[in-house]
Amino acid sequence: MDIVTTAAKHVVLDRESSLTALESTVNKKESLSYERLIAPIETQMMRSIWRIVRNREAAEDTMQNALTTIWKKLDRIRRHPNPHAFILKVCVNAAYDTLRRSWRFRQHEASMEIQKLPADPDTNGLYRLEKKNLEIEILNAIRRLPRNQALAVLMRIVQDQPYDFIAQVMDCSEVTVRIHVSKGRAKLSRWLSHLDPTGPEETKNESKE
Amino acid sequence: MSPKNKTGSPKTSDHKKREDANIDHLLKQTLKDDLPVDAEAVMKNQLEGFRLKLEEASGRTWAGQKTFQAILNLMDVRWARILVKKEVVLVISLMMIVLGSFIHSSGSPNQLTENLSVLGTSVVVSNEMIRSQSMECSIQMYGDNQEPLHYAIQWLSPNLSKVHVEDSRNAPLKTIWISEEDIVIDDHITDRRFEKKISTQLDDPILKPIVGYLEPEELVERMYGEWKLLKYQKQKECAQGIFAIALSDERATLEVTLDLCTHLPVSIKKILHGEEFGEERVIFNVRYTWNIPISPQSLAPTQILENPKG
Repeated sequence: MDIVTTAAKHVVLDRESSLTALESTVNKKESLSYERLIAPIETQMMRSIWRIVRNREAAEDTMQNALTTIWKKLDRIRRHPNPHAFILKVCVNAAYDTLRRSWRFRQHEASMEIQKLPADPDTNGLYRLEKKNLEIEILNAIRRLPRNQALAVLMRIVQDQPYDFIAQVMDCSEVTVRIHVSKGRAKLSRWLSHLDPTGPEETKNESKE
Repeated sequence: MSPKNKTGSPKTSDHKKREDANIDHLLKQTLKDDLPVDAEAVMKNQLEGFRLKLEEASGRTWAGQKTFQAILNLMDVRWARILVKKEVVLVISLMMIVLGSFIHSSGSPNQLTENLSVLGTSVVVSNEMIRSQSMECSIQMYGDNQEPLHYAIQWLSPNLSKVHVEDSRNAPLKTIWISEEDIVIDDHITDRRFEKKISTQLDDPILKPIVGYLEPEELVERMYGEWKLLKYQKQKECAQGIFAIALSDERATLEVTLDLCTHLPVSIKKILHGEEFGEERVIFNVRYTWNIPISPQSLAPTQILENPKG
């Protein structure tokens, strides 16, 4: 009887030690998931969102949407051949969605900027306004691009990502990315042809002088 | 028709380049990398929240399992008093799995059921896999309109792997060595060697189909997080158990055959179902051998190829 009881305890202990070992392994893996998947690109995620939405509240909303998508697709991300590229795509995609969604808010923001100006604005005030208008005009042009062209232009031209990386992110060939960038750039060039590319910087320099 | 400038003459290459440079400059200058401190702080908070959410989710899963463990432990004691065999634990766990899958198929969502199947598979199979020290597996892959490929994988705990890929005529295609930090790939077609950091891992199309089967922990992660058990069948005569598992994102099932003595998988077969394939089509077949002696030296990259073809 004693032997049986000892054996029974052994079975239970064996089960407990198995579970503890497994628990620590899985917990370690969960935290490793964050350390491995997100921690190395935290800054890149924040900056890629900011460079597109350029507004604190919009950035917060965008990050929330991006994290929700990442949460839903966590298993897929874990086994993705390049999880960092996948996560950055989620961020840029979310930012592009915000851009399309919040267009009216942007226009409102521009009009608020004008209202904020004093009756006789100084050079800095005018510079800020001009900069804001330029920003809005460019974001509006990007917003009008088809999604793939917009993503390719943002990642290549704005964020300086290499073509092979963008190809991985967009799950297409490098040639396709180049075509997207070229077509997107051509459209932007046409739509923004009235702008002086060095406008705000020159104005700024002139005002300093 | 070539694009024309304002004067009506075709745009020169220089003009186009200048125009491209101008628009690039305009975008870069306007959409600067000037993340303000307050926006950065807000987003950092969100990321921290996300990290906590991940940890919390992991804790919740285990809390559920621990509750059920208490019940299971009691059952273990009663059964063990009668039979005192390790196999009994396995039988109980597998009964729970079958019960769990039955309730699943009856369509009544039940947290306990989930715990049952997770616990059963985790304890009996996953634990043995995680504790394993080495693994060899051979994968026969049957792609769409492609020649079958053969993969031979060797893995040594904690993180040394070697993958050798051959075509149907046994001609070597690639050999890949994976360590904690680096991946070394020998392309036998071009006789070239590539070395990569692990962060850019496995973007090679030839490796994509077998990602998730390269290491026991990857396999456990999939069993734990993604796969849903359909049924379990025990074959007494060969001391094997066969799990049929549904894959969440594909029209395919996995047939995992277990050795009931070692509680380790012997083989995994992936079967695609669909009218366009007739009845069923086997996509790949994996055969495992566990805990055999493998020396770390045998998993180190061979000397670099001296005379590359091009």
